[in-house]
Amino acid sequence: MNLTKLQIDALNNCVKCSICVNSCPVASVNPQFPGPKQLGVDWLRLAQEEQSQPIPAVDYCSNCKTCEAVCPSGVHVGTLNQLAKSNLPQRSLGMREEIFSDPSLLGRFIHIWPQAGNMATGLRPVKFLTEKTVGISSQAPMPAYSMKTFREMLLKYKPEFSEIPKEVVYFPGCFTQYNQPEIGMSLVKILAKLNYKVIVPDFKCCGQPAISNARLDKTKKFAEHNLDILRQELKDGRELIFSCPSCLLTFKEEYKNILGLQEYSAFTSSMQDSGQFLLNHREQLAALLRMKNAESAKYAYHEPCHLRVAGQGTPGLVLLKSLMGLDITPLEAGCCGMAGSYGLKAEKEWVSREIGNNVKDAVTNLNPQAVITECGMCSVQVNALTELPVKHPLEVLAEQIKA
Amino acid sequence: MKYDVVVIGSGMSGMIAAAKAVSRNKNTLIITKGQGILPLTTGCIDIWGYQVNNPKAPALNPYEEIQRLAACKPEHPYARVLDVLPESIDFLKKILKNSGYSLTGSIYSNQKVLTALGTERVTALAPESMVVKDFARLKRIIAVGFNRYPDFFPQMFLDNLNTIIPQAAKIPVLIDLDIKETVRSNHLSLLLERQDILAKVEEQIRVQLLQHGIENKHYDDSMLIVLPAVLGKNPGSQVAKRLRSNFNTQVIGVPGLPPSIPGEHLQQALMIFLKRQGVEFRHNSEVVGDIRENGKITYLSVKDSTAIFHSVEAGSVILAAGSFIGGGLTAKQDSMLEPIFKLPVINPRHVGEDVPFLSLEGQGFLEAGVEVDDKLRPLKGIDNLYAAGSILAHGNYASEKSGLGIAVATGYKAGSLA
Repeated sequence: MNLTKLQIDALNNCVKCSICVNSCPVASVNPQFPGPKQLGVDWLRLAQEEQSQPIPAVDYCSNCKTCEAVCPSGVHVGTLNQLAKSNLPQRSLGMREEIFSDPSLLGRFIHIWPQAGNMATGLRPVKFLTEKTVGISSQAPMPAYSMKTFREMLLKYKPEFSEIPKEVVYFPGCFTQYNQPEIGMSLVKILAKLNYKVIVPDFKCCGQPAISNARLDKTKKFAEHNLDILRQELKDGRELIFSCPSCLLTFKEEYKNILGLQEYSAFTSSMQDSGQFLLNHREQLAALLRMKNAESAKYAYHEPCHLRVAGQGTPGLVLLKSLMGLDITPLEAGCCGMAGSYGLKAEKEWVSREIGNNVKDAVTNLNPQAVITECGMCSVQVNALTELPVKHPLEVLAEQIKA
Repeated sequence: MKYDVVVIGSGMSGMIAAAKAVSRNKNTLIITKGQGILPLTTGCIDIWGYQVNNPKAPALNPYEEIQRLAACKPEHPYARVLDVLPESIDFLKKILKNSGYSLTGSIYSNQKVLTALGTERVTALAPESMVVKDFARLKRIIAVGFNRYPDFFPQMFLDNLNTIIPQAAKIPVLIDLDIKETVRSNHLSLLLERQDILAKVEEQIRVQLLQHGIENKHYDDSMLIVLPAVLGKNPGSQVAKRLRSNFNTQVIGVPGLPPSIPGEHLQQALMIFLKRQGVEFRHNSEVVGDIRENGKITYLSVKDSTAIFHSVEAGSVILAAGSFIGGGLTAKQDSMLEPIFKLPVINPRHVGEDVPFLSLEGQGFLEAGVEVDDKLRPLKGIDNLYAAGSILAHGNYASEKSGLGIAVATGYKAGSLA
């Protein structure tokens, strides 16, 4: 198969130290998964020399990208695994992958009647049927859908600006749009106080779910659509901010690394995590915060793998800890195992749950009142594992902003 | 936002530097590309392996040897940190204990540990799960392998052990956990955390020992059960302790080919400790340059996973980016380079010298690196840049068995000064 120069350089940088295999959450729990080095890097190397089919076990890669965060040689191990995965014979990837590769499709469908959708995904006979027919696990925690989408809420929100507001472009992502619009609304409200008007263009899904579900053609379609929007919107020094780490990573890294869309490089310096954007305004933000409550709730912080890989640090944690003075402890327990739609798949649900045990144990030891994390599907998993409320840092921050 | 201390690298030297800095209430950030190569170590802390006056003989007291070394080789990294050496090792032991990873031993004496090949080697500090009490009193050694696990072969281990511990009876045991695939260390270490699996392992050991006439009454302190170093997933794991109390014998885990599980534990223990102490981490990022004003570094240019350059304001900077494997040094055919600050890299021995691969003198390129003054500063005229760990010139971790010791002591000193 043909690789870009960037991808071949990545292959050649691998020194075979196997740190990625040792750290791989999937390989730790599933002996059928030989690890990211063999399945991605080594196979692609072989495929450069001769005709070869990917090893089917590569389908078990969750694309959490822990391998990329630990690699001492800067190899995009996870990306190379997804490239290998996309070469799997299509028969092993069916309707389920079609559904999961575009969460906005399912979102729009369920949004016709969200109550019915939420009820249906919770019903045992429905769960049983979807497991038997489509292969979606009956055991896995399903994300609940919001009665109103983020866009609907945003249209109704009319902030008053005392002076002409500055503008910032926001990519909400499918989870905020359909499942938890409160995340996006929290951001919009905080930014209004900082005199920013939030522009939400008609983006399509970032394409990360399509990458993980081996539908690179879809990712490419989304990426090209989104690129058109960036060309129009990212001018006059406007920045693009994200509340979902996976969307951010996809825009910043995958469009270039996996699709080879070099034009994105022109925009990557304007993209950042919303937490970092807020941290850049920390003085103004500090003035907006209510006095700290006397009650001392204890929080735990779960760092999403994709945030770590995006190289942004943990701005959300810094906001809550040093700006708000919350009692918040990093779990540092590794991947939660959900990895987007991975943990919803019937044959992978057990892998996902076993990976998540580390997070569960760490939460049990800390015994917090709630867990904080930026990633939507992490929050679904952590909530199911611990039965604790799980919030986005933006939601916690918004609660403390003066009226 | 300004950080008092920015550390580049999250290997041993970087993490100890950050731990020391944060203990001085410094607002500390670690910027790291990859996670550092601690998982490639055995999880032991080698400080000094051989006698300075007789390099073929193992060192008995690392601290005394290092004092001798400093007198005859003042450019060696240890000579720059003699003032803090013992306290840096105590500091390391204390913070690791806090995370459940207990090290035994001290800087004043080396101890013998066993390798997966059945040979012995010396190290200063070893995790409790590797320490054997009194080789001379051992009567029975049981080597436990796992079916389809390629990193520990009981019979080979025991055969080689005959030269070191000849008096003990040696029995190989093979455990079958009914896994169809090749078993990897990380999977095995997770499995052994499960009570049911551990009970199964215990049962199979007892049954096979009974076939050799070893009954429960023979189980005592003179019996040593050796497993591969897969005794638990997390740094604070209780697997080794559980096996010890259930068998009432000595139980150890020996690391095989890298990466090792104890090395991984060491990495995790330090990282959890630092994050909980409030040290900020920027993973998957690299420092690519700096801005200087009036003899000080003021800003670092940081590249994240793509090509975005952030500016990070720094009070002082600790360069702990490692050597060739970690990326702190890079080499071309004709030159060596320190890519971030473009510091001069010196190579005390000729690069192309013809040394046998496993020579006791070690390979010359390992001694290449940056030179520092007594305050670990690599650049004349720049006051707030410090260097620590394997990026320093003149140390040779392979032939001296000094790698993590140098990292701990130099990291600690850099973290005290920064």
